[in-house]
Amino acid sequence: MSRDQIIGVIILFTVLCISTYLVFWARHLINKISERGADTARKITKEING
Amino acid sequence: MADNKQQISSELSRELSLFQITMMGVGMMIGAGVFLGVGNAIHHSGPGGVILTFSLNGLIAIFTAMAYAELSSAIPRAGGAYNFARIGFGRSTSFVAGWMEWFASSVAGSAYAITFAIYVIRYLVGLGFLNLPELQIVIVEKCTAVFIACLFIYINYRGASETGKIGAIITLGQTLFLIVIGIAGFIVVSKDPSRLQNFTPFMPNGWGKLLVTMGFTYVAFEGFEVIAQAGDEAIDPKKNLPKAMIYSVFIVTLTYVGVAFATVVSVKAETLMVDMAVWEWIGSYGERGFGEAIAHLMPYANFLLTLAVIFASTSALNATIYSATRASYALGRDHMLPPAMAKISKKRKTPWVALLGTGAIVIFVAVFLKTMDVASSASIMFLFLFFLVNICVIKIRRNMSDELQYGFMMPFFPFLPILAIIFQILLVLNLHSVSRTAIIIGPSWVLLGLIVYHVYSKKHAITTEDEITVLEDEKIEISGSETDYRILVPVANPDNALSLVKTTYKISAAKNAEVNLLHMVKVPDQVPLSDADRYMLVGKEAIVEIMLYLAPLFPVNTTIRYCRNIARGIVSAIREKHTNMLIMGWHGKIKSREYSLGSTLDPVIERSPCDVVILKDCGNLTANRILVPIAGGPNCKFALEMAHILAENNDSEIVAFNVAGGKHTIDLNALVEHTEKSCNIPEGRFEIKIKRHKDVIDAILEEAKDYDLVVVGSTGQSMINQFFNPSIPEALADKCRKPFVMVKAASGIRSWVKWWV
Repeated sequence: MSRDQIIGVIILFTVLCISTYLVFWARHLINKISERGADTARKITKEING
Repeated sequence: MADNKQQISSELSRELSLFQITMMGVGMMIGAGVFLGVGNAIHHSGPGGVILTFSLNGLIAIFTAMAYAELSSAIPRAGGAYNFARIGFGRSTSFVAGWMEWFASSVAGSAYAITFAIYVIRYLVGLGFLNLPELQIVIVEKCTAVFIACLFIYINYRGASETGKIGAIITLGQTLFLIVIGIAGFIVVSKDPSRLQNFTPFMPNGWGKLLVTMGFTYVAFEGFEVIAQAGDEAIDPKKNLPKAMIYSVFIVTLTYVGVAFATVVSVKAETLMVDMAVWEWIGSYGERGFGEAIAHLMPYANFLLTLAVIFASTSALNATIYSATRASYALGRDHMLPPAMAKISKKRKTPWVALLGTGAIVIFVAVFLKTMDVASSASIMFLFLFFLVNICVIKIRRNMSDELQYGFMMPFFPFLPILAIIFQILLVLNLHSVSRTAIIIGPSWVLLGLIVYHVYSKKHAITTEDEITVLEDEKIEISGSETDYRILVPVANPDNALSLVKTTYKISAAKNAEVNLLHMVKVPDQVPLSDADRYMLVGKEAIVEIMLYLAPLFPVNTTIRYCRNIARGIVSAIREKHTNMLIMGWHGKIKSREYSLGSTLDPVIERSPCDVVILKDCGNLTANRILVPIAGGPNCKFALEMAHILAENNDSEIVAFNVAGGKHTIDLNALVEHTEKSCNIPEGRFEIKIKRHKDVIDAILEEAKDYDLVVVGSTGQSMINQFFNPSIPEALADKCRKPFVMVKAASGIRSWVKWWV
């Protein structure tokens, strides 16, 4: 594999991992806010973000 | 939206599920970008570049989708960027947002029309139907693009559009086709790994070209605006809008990456008869490159691809035309553009001036700009729009987050929106190397907008009602009256409204029920649901007529409900209002062979989770003799109960009538006795009559001549079955010249299963 190909694969893998993480994180947050009420959105966001 | 003076409340019908709005977004994205973009992206940045282009664009789009998701969850109303900018920055910025949205959607529409033309003509050329030189092919493509654009402008003028479910199914089909292409790519590589050599060289034109290809393919990620526009129509918008935005971007990103991979590996280098690398060969076809490559990938790929493009581009073209029309209509409505833009056609009820303006832009751009310029212009305009939304999300969270109720808040704030803004600026700046025209057109349109605002809009703009107060979602209040039984009566026409009164009165009295009068106002897709009060005059008249009679006698709630599809709206109202029985009138005319009773009644009868009573010619009903044809179907017990309720008095004659010689043999005595016991009806209330006859329908019609009313249970068949094999109750409804009542009992768990399926 050439240097460009290695960099390309790393970028692709990273991008797909970040995207997947963000999508599942968002889903989790939306469900949590929906269960516990909208007024706690900020609190829940902070909790999940750690 | 309650109108206390009239004591008639109005509400929006929320009919679109998470699946439907997600598919709306996906459908808008998979319209042109991938079909036009893949070939050109390979040409500019090589085989590795095309995959990184779509994956990186997907990531930036997810950042922006999160901004849209946060704002839509806090402000779940139609209007999208126009609304966000108004709340975040005020009138001038909101005008610019609406102005950009109008142009961006219109130019995207041009791109879809061109995609349709390119792929259809390419297919015809492949079949040998068109054998013309290159220049004439381009002219034929332009003419085809104009034709399809005109056709969809006319369809939008007529007010017709795909229903949510059909649109979602078409989108699902085209997405699945692209996923199949992606999977086919991985299968051919697993069988023949030497095809991975097509990725060498990986970035032949250097890494710098990546930003160029990301710029002009960004139009392939512009679907979340249409999801934001559906804020008024989505079920549970605080939860479903943000989910739909993020899911749709994620789905298309994975699909595009798979498709780009499959395109590169679709051709084996040795099979090419030309002295160039595979990526060069695909790139040499430009926007047609994707089609040429995929044709080598699997059998019938050419035909299937053309079919997918036809569905994808036309459904996206339709969506962009009404989306652009809504944007220009809103500007006209708020007098930011001349109020003529908000004129509604008297005949078709659609905003025809806004539609004409949109059509003019779509056709002009499709005719006079090159394909790459169209794609780049659309991309640049959406980049500006998303840039604005990312600024809005920062401003609104900083200044107003305490006043808003968020359903979602984006993480790593404000870094993600800032990162999205930086990337969007970079993409715009790099677009100049592929389309100088787009670099001129985009900023010029924004500049023109600013001039229009300062010269015209600033002086004429009207103050619209409650910009912040609309943020609270309306809750459906279930009346606190003592009765537990609720009857819903949809009324449509003031002339026919009174015919429902007498029957509704009898049933309400028997059931000790509360009556909900409902008028469904159908609003065309081109007009936001929140503007629906322009369509509600007739419904108000009809409701007031009935209220005059019923309100002194029963607790009566009246509601005007805005919807895109009347049948869906009625079914969703039944669920939201916890209705036990639905009473509807039927004019008695069958307009189309596709339906038994009509395009509204058929789906309502099939999908309603409550008891349904359909009345025909029951205006001046005096039911002294009632005929109840019984064949042992699922609704005959309910038919007998209704006949008892509708009878003029206790001495009225009710005959349970069975035609022997028909398909079913039933124990009529047992059925009648069981009904009398379970419904608390005095013993011996029903007479039994059995007649021998070859033809069931003829026998019933002949018998009905001596009666005042015929009550029949509906069939248990689905709409599809009835289309092929019309049922006896529906045939009777059509042919019977006596007052006629068709009933269908709630089928409990089965109805809920149907609903979820």
